[in-house]
Amino acid sequence: MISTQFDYASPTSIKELHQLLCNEVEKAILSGGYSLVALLKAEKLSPQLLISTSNIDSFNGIKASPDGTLSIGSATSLSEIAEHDLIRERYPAIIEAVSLIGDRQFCNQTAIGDEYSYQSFSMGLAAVLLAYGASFNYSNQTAQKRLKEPLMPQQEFILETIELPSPLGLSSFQEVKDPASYLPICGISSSLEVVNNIVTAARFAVCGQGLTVQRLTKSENAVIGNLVSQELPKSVLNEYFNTINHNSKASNEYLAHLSTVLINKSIGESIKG
Amino acid sequence: MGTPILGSAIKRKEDRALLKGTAQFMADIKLPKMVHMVFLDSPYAHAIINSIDLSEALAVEGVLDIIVGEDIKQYNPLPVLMNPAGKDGRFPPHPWGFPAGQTILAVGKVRHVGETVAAVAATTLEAAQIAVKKIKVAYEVLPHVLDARSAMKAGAPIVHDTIPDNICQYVSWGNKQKTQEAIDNAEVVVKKHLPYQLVSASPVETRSTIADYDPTTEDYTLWTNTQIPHINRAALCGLVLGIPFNKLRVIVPEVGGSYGCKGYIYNDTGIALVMARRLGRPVKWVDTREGIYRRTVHARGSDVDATIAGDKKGKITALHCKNYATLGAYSTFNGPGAPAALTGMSVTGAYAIDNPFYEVNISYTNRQMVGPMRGAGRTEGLYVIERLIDLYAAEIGMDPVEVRRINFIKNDQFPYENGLGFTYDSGNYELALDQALKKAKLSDFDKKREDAASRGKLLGYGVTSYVAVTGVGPSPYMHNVIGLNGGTYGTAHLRIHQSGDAQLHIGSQPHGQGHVTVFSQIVSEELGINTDKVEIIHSDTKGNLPIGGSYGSRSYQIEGGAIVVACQKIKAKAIKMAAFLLAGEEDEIVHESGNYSLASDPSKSVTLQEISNALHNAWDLPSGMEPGLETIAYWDPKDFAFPFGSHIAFVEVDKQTGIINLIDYIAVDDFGKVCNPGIVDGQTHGNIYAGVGQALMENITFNENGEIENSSSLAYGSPRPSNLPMFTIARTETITPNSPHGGKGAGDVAINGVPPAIVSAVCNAIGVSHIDMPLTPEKVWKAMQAKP
Repeated sequence: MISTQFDYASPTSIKELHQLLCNEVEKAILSGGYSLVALLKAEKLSPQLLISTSNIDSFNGIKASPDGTLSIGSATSLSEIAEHDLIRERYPAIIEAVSLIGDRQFCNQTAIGDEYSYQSFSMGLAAVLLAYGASFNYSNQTAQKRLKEPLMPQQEFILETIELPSPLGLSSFQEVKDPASYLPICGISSSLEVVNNIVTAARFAVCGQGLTVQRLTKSENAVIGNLVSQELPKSVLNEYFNTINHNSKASNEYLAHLSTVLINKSIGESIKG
Repeated sequence: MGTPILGSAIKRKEDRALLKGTAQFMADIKLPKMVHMVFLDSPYAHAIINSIDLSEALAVEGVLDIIVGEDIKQYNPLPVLMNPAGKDGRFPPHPWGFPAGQTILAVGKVRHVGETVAAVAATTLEAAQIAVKKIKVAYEVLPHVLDARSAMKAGAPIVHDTIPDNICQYVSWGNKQKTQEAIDNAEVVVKKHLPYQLVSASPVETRSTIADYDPTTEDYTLWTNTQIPHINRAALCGLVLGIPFNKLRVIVPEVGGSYGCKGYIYNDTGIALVMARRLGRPVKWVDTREGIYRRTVHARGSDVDATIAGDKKGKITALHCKNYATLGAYSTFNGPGAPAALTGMSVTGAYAIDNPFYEVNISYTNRQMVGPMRGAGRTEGLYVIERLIDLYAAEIGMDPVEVRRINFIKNDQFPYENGLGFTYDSGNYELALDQALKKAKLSDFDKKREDAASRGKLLGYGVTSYVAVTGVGPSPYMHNVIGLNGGTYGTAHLRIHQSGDAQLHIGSQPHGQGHVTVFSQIVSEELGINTDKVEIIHSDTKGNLPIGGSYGSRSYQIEGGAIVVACQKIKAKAIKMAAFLLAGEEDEIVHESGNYSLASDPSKSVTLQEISNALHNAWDLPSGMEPGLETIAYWDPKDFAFPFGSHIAFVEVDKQTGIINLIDYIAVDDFGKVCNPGIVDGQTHGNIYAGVGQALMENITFNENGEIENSSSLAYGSPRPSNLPMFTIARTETITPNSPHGGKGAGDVAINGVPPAIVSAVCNAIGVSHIDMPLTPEKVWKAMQAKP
């Protein structure tokens, strides 16, 4: 049954939010709502209580620290993120990923936390944040967690902020969309440090329909020390996709090929960019 | 003489309500005391129902009633009215028995995932949704079979105990022996397996039904978004539920797209009527988006082993096609029609082939039912011949366009019997091809291909030509050859009011095509009445003449033909009356734009309004003339019409990913005399859109349990405007002798050129001979990798 009636709460403090999250009834975070509505319609959620995080100050906005770290509140809209000067200047792959998620109205309505509340991990933003080395700050009534990868939803911990360290230097996001679903068959985010045309540090993250967003550490290791113009061999990703479990409709062979193409393209674009 | 209204792109009369948001669709209808109905579907492809426990579901607050198979055993199964195999078909239509008929609720057994097991009625939708999940069904799961070839194998699971080999019927057209001899003697023989994948029509509006029953008068009213309200009425009354014919009224509100999938007799209509009678209250069911895939008829899914034979100079001498088709778990009312007749008789396309032969085994499988949708049957057949011509051309090293020209039916060969049962009316196939090629500017192609290569893209183009039958009737042919148990003529009931305004009652069923505009234009053209003064009454069996409905591009040709005949009858009476009023002779009367004058003295004239006024007052009429100005016309065509065209698709394939970008699409079609070019342009765009979906992405797939894997809009892709170029469309005009206005059908015609054009273009781009649809990026990439 599709839930059409529920209570609504809009706490103004984290403490109040945590108290609501301890409520025994089935609940869901309203953080923009796009993913929530999709899950309601699919009858995967039937909350009795909807909790909005949009009125908690610390969940909103983008703050820069003197050490160069950028903190993004989980209720910050994708539009606000895409229009932020520092993000545009330092994290261009975020802009690319947001532009591929949805149209203007979607980005106005959807908060970055929404992407992490409801498993929209096929989208590129999650991969981009991993490639930028983001930290995810969660809390519940008794504890706080600072993680390098987002938690799966429904774990009683609420995402408060996402912290972005200073970028390595070059970055890009590239994806191949499924022409039918328009979700990425495969997306690659790259973040590189290049000194004298040699790759000195690299972070790659993959996303896609049926794939879990994750870092591609073997590929990262394979390019470090190489000339930046040297293409990544396909064999690295062939091996990777043959060892992971996924629900993608694409074959391992095609995923490995696309990932390789996209990593090389991503590096190429980031050099250009 | 003013500008002819027939052939003018006047604005659609229907659009005001749609644009203002005042049009009423099924979901908008609310009736006093209305209750909501939800269905419990089978989760299994094939299972025995051992027991159903309703106790918990009935206890849910708001639940009024639940019915299951045991409650409807007294009713007949849904009828099958089209039986091309005649007496050899294993589902003789009513009243001769129905060994594989679909009951409105599953009785004892389910035969596909999504089959309706129970119906819950409750005061709120939420209560019905809660209750349906509390129904406990004990199933005994049986082995199932999902595809036609497997269903025919020895030892396959049996879908119906009454059909021990799962084969509903075998149908063939042409001469098998002669064809085989021609193949044996040919210089060149090309064989190819050509599947045509299963798709969904995917209209924006899901299906829906509301039923009401008045216990005082025993009248039933059914609202449903169907293309065939009159067939629904006749079938549900006489063949299924036993309701007296005059006690069921069927009303169709605005329909949010159909493309064929609402052209059936669905079980939900029967269930809603039964439930409404049990409750004495209106019952409403609106399907979900998922239901479009689970509870609505699928289309296509042919699976053809094809052989083409010819000489080395490009002359085709024989064509042999063996098709394996499935109806799904049951037959829709016209299920065998598409694979048997429409595909079978269409496979020669636009070509004069001396020895054609087509045969099909149509089987039952444990899947949702399969039936006609836009381009029904013809797209499957024309895909086969168009792909074969490309393959044959490659085999003999000839330009496929040249092969088409060599084998085209020539202008002086019409009427042309195609050897499979069709007689083509008229055509000029070379002209359409020439115009398409001119627009394609292929002289620049090599340069464009180089430009594309510099961007990492592979440019290709594909050319197709097609001929598609339209205009269902003629009734004798439909019955005697295709086995339709019913007439397919057109009807029109035309009344000219005393004011001179016209009121036209039609039985055709608009579902987005623009019938009101087009039929107003016909009346205006014939009688000189402004289109604003023509009222079209439709979408209600009460007061309208019963006809088959709207499907297969028949409405303009057949109903439009009946309207022309009705107008001619009105004119004949108006001329008699004009002669009387002007004190002249009938043969002296000249009619122009609603004005009737004496040829010898044009200053003496009367308008149609004046004539109608005199006829309605009836103060002074010619001897024996009845008052009023009104007529009913029935018109049955002497044969079908055969629109045609040539299409050219241009694609760019990304070398690295296999992603296809359709960069240009040229369609030159011929629909005979077109009534409203704006509407036909729209129909052509819609056809191309649907064909692109078939070629590139649409494909209903099942998992090993027989569940549909992609029953949502997210998983079942269709083209988006942003994927498509602005189409280049144009028309030639070759009138048909088989309609009074010279027009042929257009609604589901242009699609026939699209899938083979795109497949051909992609193959041309990447340099392979063939790829099966849908052309997914991975499939195309793999084809590129497999190249030597």
